This record gives sequence, structure tokens and C-alpha cells, in this order.
Amino acid sequence: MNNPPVLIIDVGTSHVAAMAGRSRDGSDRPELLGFGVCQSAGMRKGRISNPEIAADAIENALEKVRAQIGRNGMLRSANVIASFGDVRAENVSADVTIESDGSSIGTVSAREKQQARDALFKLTPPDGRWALPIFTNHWTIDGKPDAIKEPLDRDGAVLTIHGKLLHMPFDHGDMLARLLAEAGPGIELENYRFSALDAMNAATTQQHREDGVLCIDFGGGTTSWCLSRHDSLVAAGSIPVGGDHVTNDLLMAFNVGSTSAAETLKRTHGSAVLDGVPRDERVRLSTELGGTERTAPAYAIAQVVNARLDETLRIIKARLEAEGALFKFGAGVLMCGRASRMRGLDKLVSRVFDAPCIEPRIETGYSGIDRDAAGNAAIWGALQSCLREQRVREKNRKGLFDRFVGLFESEDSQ
Amino acid sequence: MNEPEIRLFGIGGAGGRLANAAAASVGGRLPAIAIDTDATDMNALAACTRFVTIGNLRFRGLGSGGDAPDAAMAAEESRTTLATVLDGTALAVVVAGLGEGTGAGALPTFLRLAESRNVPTLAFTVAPFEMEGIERLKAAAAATRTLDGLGTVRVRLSNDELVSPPESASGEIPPETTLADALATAERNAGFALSCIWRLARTPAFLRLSPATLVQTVLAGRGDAHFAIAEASGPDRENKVADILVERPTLGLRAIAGDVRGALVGICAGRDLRLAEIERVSKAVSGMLPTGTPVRLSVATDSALEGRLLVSTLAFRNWNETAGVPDSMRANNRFSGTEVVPVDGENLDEPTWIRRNLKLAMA
Repeated sequence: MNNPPVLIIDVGTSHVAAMAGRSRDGSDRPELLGFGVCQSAGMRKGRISNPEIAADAIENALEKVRAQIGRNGMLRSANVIASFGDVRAENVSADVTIESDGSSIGTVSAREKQQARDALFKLTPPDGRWALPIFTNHWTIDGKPDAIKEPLDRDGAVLTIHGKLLHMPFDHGDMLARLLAEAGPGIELENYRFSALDAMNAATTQQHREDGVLCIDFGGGTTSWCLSRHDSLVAAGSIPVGGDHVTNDLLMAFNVGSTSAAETLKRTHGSAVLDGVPRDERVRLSTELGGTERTAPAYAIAQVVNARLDETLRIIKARLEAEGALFKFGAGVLMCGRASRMRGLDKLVSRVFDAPCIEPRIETGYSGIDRDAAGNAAIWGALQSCLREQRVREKNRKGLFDRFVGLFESEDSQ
Repeated sequence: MNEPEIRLFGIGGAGGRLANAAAASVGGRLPAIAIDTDATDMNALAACTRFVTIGNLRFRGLGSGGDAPDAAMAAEESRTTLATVLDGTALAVVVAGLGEGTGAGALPTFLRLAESRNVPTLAFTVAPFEMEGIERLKAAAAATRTLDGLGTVRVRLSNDELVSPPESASGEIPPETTLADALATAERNAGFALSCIWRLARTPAFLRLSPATLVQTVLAGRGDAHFAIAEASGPDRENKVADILVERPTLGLRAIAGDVRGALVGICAGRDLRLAEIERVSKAVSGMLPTGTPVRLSVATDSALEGRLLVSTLAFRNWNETAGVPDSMRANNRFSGTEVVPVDGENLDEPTWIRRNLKLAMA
């Protein structure tokens, strides 16, 4: 039986995107069934500011996907990426006693591994917080510091699984869940996804994640990040600051009258670094007041943009430092998100983190999507991950069924 | 989407009339909102852009009958309505008469509400004429006490000051002045004072005060402020206006100059305004104030003011240049009205270049 298509909805500050796909036989690359993007102004700083506009954008994006899918499959549930502005990560762990035959030492079995996993996934976030999926990182035995990737058949008394629990304010998750119920009736919210992690998984290689990579997803209203090393999630978080803040800073500095005028100023003349920006060049400003034509120095525009971006990156750096995670990304820094296309941002990132900046690349097989790798990495990564999880679930179900059938066969044979 | 506005709120009968006069003085372009318990009173305010009746359940739109405590309760009952009118406001210029009734009763609630929504307020209160009698003056004094600590900047005026002609250096009212003339002068003075703020920030001008700077100025000057006004025309008008502004005992600067810690000077004139006139006024004000007092100068020209030179000054008794500026207090700030989520104790919705005191290479 064919699995239903997996649907991902990316609810961003300036855009809502929906993508549906399914697994291809014998390939890790998903088969893309539908993709729709709509502009939206319903979110601010990772929170729903205008439910009506946000719901409309979600509905329109879903409509585009449905039009492409046709009768190929029903959309029953959705995994949702949202630009949540206050995601925090904490280390969590769960212990299981390793069964033994009388002595204090036993051998880790698959059942104990599963028990430990189940115990970890039962952990709940602090009051007032909504849990994002828990990420399992590594195992330890008997409290020894050595991280183990595969504990099966290892000897010991206590098996511990370590992971990262990501969570966000409860009302953010709750409000978005209600909105989805309204915008996509019949589509159940399966899980929230963490954009930076999905973007990283899509746009980096296994080697990057082994060597250590920091992925920063610079969205319109929020910036989220995650750091992976030895293929484990070392740190993650988000702040309610994004490209909109750069726009707002320009709006207030140059009084251009409207956010769209400031947005244009940012895109056409913004620069994340000051070097190379001529001090004597002036650029024309538009004004809604319709007064005399005004100009502003290109250098001052760059100063405003540089100040905001430098501050944002340094906040992330300080957070990583506080977690002892700084300097653990030998592979470099990956910048994703629709607001990451700012001129000179790669240079600024390299300077702040003293690490190379990795250009985001994704290979979906669709050139239109691949061209905007920075903007689409998260949604493509989420689709890949969800399909992988779907395959694992399917495999487990099949395993259970085989065992069930095997049980009857063995009874018959007796 | 609309950007946050500088709005004028007239509370109560007198507040509404003064707001109306201010809006009328700029041809109705100023967003002026009348708030009253008396719906019929508001019908006469043709220049106001919006009318809000409060305490409908209590007064049925017929007014508070001069009962300030009742009006205060009406304002509390209408908090939701009042909160709605504050939405999208970058700076609320508020005016209310402090006799008896809605102005005195509803103003504290309104200012508290604005503060809770991070909307800075520049509140003008107008006390009754002395001739109105001791009871009304006592009521005004009681109302003033209820305003302690409320409002970002408070400017206390009285009708006795406002009737003083702005073109008179002595500030004396000619004995032949009729009651109607005196009230018209008071409305004109208050109207100019109130509209001036908007005019300086919203009129294309040589030295335009950006709404963000205006809000920042109000926040820096948090506390009590003094208002001075002067007008002159004809030859040598710059010297006349400077003398009036400085020397006049009422609505002049002389009496309070030593206590001033910061000032906002607005010059409004027709297109015939000369550079030398701006310089003369600027020097006159700066010369009066303690050395080093920050003075923000703004100039707005309007063809309707041809031949006239008007100067208004807000003289602040406190000045804190680095006063914290919540996001929604900023004019032009697209994050107005959104919840502030401090990151490491800082409000990141406020531009980095402002928080870091970055000098932009604007020259």
C-alpha cells in the first residue's frame, strides 16, 4: 500500500510555503508532488500578528499544492516549520537498567535501547513551553564520559540515552495549531519542525556534520541556529530578530516612509560589511511624503545594516560560548533563510565566527527550487527527514508484522 | 499597512474643543480624536477625525454632568474602547481641561492605558480661569494630583496663560478684550501648541523633525515641561519673536530658563522664512538656557503662514538622552503593538544603531 504524501508547511514572516512529496523506491531523494509559496504578512517576530492574513496565506499555499497533486494523494497531516522566536535547547537524558542474569553486569539488548528511547521521548518541557521533537544524540554506559553511537551488545549496568529537548513558548505553538486547524481543515498537525536543523540536514553533507557545522537560519522575523558535531546536535536556539529588523532600522534611520521602500533600500543598497562601500556615494531615497527628492550616503545605509547583522551574529556567538559550543564547527557556518541573501553577509559571518561560510546547496532535481537553496533548504530538509521517519516507521511496522506471522508459523509447526 | 501615527487626543469638552482647534489650524490633516462622555458636544467638532463616546452605559451619551469621579469610572468601564483608539499610535499628544467632568476624570485612565501599551504621551492640561472661582480651582488642583507620575511629558497650562496674545511681549490682555476674543485667543494658542508638534514632524521642511526623533525627544524629556509660544509679523519679526519668547512672563522662557535641561524649538512660518530668522531664534533660546543644554530645532514651512513667524518651545525640566526607548514608542517602528521580547535584557526591536549610539555618516 502507498503511504500518503508527506506535507510540510513553512510558516514564515514574509512567506508561507507548502511542499508535498513521497519516497521514491530505491532513492533517498523524495519525489516532489507539489510546491506552493505565498507572500504573507501575518507573522511578526515568530508570532501570529494577523491570524486572518496568516490563515489566508496558508490556505493559498495549500491550494497550490493541491492543484499540483490532483488525485495523487490526500493531504491528511502536516509537519510545520515556523519561525518561532524563542526556541531553547536543553540537554536531557534517560536511564535504563541493563538486564542481567544475576550478576551486576548485563548486555544491552534492542529492547533496552527502545525502553531508553521511549523514556526519553516521554520527557516534557518546562511549564508554559511547547516541545519540539527530541533529538537523540548518543549513549553512555554506567555514566562513563565516552559517547557511544551504538550501544547494542555492550556490557554494563545502566544504559543512558542523551538528547536535546527543544521547546518554545506554549502559546506560540498553540496559536499556530489553531490557525492550521482553520486554514487547512482535515489536515492534522503532526509535529513542529526546527527550521535550522532541517536546513542543515538538507544543505550540508554528513562530513560537514561530523566535522562540526553551525547553521544559521536568518528569517524575516526570527533567527534560529543549530550546531552539529560528530553528527550530534550540540546547541540550538532562536531569537525574535530577523531581516524585518534590518528593514525597520533602515526605515527609522532614513525615514523613507514605508516598509516597502525600506525593504527596497535594503535589497538594493544594503551591505553587511562596510569595506568596499564608498564614503562619497549617495543613493536616492523614496518618500511617501512626496517632498523634494532626498538622498542618503551609501555608507550610512551600510552602517545601519552592519550594526544589526553584526549584533545578531554576536548574540548567537555569545549563546554558543555560554554553552561551551564555540569553536566546535570546523566545517564552517551555513547561512540559510530568505533574509540571508544580504550582500557581504558571508564576509561578516566569517569574521564574527572566524570560520568559513558554507554556501547552501540543495539537490531536489527541480532547478527552480535549487536556485533558492537558502530559502528552500529548511522545507526540503524537513520533507527529506519526514519521509525518512516514515520509512523507518513502515519498516518497524513490517518487522512487527513479520514477527507476528512468524509466531503463528512457529506455533503451526509445533 | 499604516505606520504608527502622531495623534492628538482631546479628552472631555474642553479637550475636544482644543483638539478641534488644533486640527482646524492645519486644515484637518492632523489625526485628532475627541473622547467624551457627551456625544452631542462632539457634534460641533468638525475638524476632529474621530469621536469616541465613553461611559455609554452610565451616561447614555449625555455627559458626566461635571462629575469627575463618575467620569473616571466611565473611563475605566470603557478601557477596551480607549485601548483600541491607541492602537497604531506612535506618540499621543493629549489635551484635557482640568475643571470638573470628563477631562479631569478620564485623563488619568487614558494616560495609564497609554503607558501600559508603551505609547508615549505628551499631555497638556489646562486649568480653569482664576475668575471661575475657588471651587473650580480646587477641583483642578485635585485633578492635577491624580496625574502625579502619569504621562511621559506633562505640560501644565491655564486658561489665564492661554488668553495672553502670543504677539504681546508683556503678555497683558488689553482691557477692551471681549470674552469671545479671549476664548478665541486661548483656542488659537492651544491649537498652535498642539498642532505644532504634528506640523514639525509631518510637514516637509528644511529641518524636519522625524517622528522617531520626536518620540525620542519626548522620552528623553520625561517629566514636567514648560511651554512657550511667540508670534510676530512684519519687519524685524525675528527680533520681535525672540524677545517675546524670552521675556514674556506667561508662556515665555525667562521665568523657568534656569531649570531647563533640554528643549525642543519649533519654528513655523510661510515660505518667506529667512535663514537669518532661524539663526536669531535659535540663538535667543540657546542664550537663555544653561550652557550645554541640548536644544533640538525644527522648522516647518506652510504657505498658509505667509508673513507670520511662530515659535513654540517645549522646555523640559529633565533630560536623559539615553532614556530607554521601548519599540512601540517609536514612530515608524513596524513592531509597534507587538510584544517586546527582551533578549539578554535588551529590546532588540529598537534599532541597533540607536541603542549603540552609532553616529551615522549622514553628511
